[in-house]
Amino acid sequence: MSPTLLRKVVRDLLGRKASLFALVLIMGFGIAALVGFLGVARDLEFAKERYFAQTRIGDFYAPVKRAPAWVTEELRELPNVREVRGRVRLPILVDLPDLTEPVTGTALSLPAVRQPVINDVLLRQGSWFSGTGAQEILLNDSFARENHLHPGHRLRIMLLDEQREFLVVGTVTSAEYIYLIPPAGGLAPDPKRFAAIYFEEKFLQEAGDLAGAYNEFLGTVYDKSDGAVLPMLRSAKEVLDQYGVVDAQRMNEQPSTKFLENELENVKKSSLITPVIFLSIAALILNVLVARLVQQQRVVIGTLKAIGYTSVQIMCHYLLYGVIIGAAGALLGSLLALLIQFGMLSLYRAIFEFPLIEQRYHFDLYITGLLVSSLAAAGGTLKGTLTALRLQPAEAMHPPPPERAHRTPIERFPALWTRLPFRWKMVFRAIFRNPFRSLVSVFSGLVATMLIIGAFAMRDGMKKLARYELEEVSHQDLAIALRDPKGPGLASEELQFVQQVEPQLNVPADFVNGARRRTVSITGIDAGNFLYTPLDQAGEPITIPASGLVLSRKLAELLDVGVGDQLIVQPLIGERRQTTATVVALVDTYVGLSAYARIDYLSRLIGEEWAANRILTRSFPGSSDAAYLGQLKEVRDVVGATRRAQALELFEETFSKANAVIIGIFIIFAMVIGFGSVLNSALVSLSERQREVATLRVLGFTTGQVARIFAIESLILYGLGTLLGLYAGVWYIRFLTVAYSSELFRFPMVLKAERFALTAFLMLSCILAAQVAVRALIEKLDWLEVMKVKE
Amino acid sequence: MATEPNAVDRPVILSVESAQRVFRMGEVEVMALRDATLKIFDGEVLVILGPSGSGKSTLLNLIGGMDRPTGGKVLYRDRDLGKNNDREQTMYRRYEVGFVFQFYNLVPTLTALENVEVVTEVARNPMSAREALSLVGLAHRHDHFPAQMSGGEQQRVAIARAIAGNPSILLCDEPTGALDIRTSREVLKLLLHFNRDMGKTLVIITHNAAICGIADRIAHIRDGAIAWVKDNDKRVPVEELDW
Repeated sequence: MSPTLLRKVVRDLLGRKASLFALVLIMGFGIAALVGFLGVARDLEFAKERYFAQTRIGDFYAPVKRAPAWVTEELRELPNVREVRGRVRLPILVDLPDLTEPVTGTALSLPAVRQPVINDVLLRQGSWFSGTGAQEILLNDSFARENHLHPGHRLRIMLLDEQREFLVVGTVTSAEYIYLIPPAGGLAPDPKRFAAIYFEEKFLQEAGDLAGAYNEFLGTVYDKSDGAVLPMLRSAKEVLDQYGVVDAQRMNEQPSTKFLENELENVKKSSLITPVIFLSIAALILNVLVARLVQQQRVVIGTLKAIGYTSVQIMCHYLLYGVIIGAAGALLGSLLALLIQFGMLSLYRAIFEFPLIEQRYHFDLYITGLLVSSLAAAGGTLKGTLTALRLQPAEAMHPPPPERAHRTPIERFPALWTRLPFRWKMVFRAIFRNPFRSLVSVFSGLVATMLIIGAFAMRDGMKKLARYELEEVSHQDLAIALRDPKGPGLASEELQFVQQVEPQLNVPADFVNGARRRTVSITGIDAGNFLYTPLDQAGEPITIPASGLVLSRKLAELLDVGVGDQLIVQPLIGERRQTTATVVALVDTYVGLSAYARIDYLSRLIGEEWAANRILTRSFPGSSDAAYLGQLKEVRDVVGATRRAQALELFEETFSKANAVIIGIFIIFAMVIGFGSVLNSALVSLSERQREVATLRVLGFTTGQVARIFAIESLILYGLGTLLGLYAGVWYIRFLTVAYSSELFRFPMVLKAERFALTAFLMLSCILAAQVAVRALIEKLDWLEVMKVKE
Repeated sequence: MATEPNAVDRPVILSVESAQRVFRMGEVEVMALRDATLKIFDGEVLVILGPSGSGKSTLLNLIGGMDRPTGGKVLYRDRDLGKNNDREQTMYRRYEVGFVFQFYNLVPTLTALENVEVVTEVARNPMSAREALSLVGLAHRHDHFPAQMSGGEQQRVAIARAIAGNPSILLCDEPTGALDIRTSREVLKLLLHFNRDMGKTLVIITHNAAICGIADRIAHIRDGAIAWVKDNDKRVPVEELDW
């Protein structure tokens, strides 16, 4: 590349600062999304891997009812198994003096003497068990932090119906508990009410009536591929069957890990979708700009060719415009990516419990960003470059053929056309004279609008999701979880102050259809249900048929079954008898995978006449829950209580703020596209029509009057783009709900009239803001000079 | 039929033999050059005179290697330019021809010096860009942009650009067409200087008959054909040219 021509490129670009600014901005945001989101995903993955390695997280886990310790050896013999560890896991209730309701918790066993084990913990404060036989515990660090508990504090814990006092000797973190959704359920992490508490193994075995036995096995494998792990898990299930195995799963099926991986997945999706949109728009706008540049430099191109520059050299010259803009975009994008990384990682530090999430520099990503943006930008110069390539020197020397004054389609309606003020005629001629550019304008407006609408819809969808689960389907004040299924007449004494009571039965079960299988908790619902009402698509409560299963649509999809199909169901509690069940209806749910059945039908599946292990209650209006909540701490069999209002509050607190920030960023991104493209197309239009502007100025038009012509043009093109974008937005939202749908979450499609209005208003603001810049340029234009100069 | 003067004993550098150029525009065929035959001798000053629409530019494009004849031949030192591929045509223009245009055709975003460097960077054995500029008397204005220079100065930069690559032929298309008479004289003087002192063949295409005064030979083009070629008996010093 000739250094002199390089200088020409730089000067040409600097002469178009405003367009350059708009383009580099759009390109930069696209690259920022690419590099930033990928960087975030990597940092998170790195933190995860490191944490998993530090705590020797296992590859699989298998909860059982009770298995003698020596079964550990039997499992270790299985092919592909490297290490196995047995442990005790028990549900507990923690009595925190500050809280009225009991806090659900999990007791886990650890060796009395510190030694490396599978699913180890990291000691954060205090020390390990003293080994003196005192009743000592280690708390999970976030629970201790949120409740201001420190080593030396004492804590009352209900362990198998017996309340005892324990001494906190230390706090720990565990890679099993990165995302702290309470075991009783919920949508948002709740470290204050999530108590993972570690006890000495021997003590917990005895306290849990499991002397010399375990009720959970953890293990590592040699070969982590599905082909090696899945058969191993099947054999493990067989070995453990006589000990009441509930499940044998990969460790990443645990809710905490699953949630983290779901988030990683979504970040990666965003790192693809957003840059594609931004870079395409940037490439289109660049096409308009470079095509105009080539048109302006027609004679220069001809001259360069005449004096011996090859077509390839000329082509490279114009490609260079794109490459430079791409490089500038990559630079800006990489800087913005650092901000995205900073912001999102701060968010994750608040949501996830990691000892350390480091923000790192990813130089290979910066290189990727540079390559991608240069490629997009080079593609963006294609139209102009090809024109330059094809231009014959002899032909280029002549002044360009006079502009063809097409009749615009509107002129076919003379009645309308003749009534238009001449300014509008100028605008329409300009629009139809360059259809490619006009289309790019409409399209950019469309995309910007679509992005804004999409961002709003994600926010509204998130809110709707919470409201749906916690208000429209659930109506209880409190959900009380019991340890085991119980017959009728449970806890009636404590519940006599409650207005309404509704029993539920939750049965974890394996669903099998051919090669497809899923483990899901079936919710058994009472015939006269009114506190928990699954809804159909129209939002009406469904009646659960007396027999058969109602599946959530996502689950049916994953199992490849429809209404009327039969499934093999293996309940994982009770009699654990394998049976078949018919799918009788499908419902839409937004969180997790669900299955519903009538409580009596489900009871029979686990070999009971009638049983429940969850009680929903609603208090008398205005009454306080405090009275019986306190009592629940003492009730046998109660392992947890969740207040619906509090779950909703927590969700708002955790996600709404974070969500608002992310959505806000997306809206700013979209407005950058809107503003940038309006500005650029107005500038190109202005450069083409300088003589027109000068002439009007000579004729006595004010700057404002001239500016209005360009404003009308922008309003027509981008107004049309906005209107189309509002319509396309509906499809875009549909696309987003599908793209971001996972086993954990589906976003409801929420369309709100006021969001559409607000979007239109934001787009209008972009259009008008760009006009301010255009007007300033018209004011600066030396129109006398323009009149003299021959283009 | 064109007459062939015999007073010249120099080797032929360019030979146009019954060249024809037809443009097709949709259904219509336009004969821009009907039958042009012309020899250009090494080191001479040839003025090709013709009214607008006579085929001047088409002929210039053919001998400048920017176009190919649809019939007949254009030979440069016995090489048929019509058979050149695009790359060979480009190399011919790059190494053998220096162009001077009516509207100078400088790159507006490059300074005088840089405009010359555009050529020196691709030429085979160029003179230095500064040297070329000082040869046209503009060394002191090397860092000015075209917009900061007068038309005459711009044309001098264009001439510096044309000679900087050490071409054999200077091909000038209405080089004074946009200039006043005084400036035109300076520009022509400069072109003659390069013809005499550096031996460049100088071909000037113009509709301005007054310029014929400086020619060794004059060719007249009319209706797409060379009507006549003759030696110039009445050579006039540049200072005395007038129109």
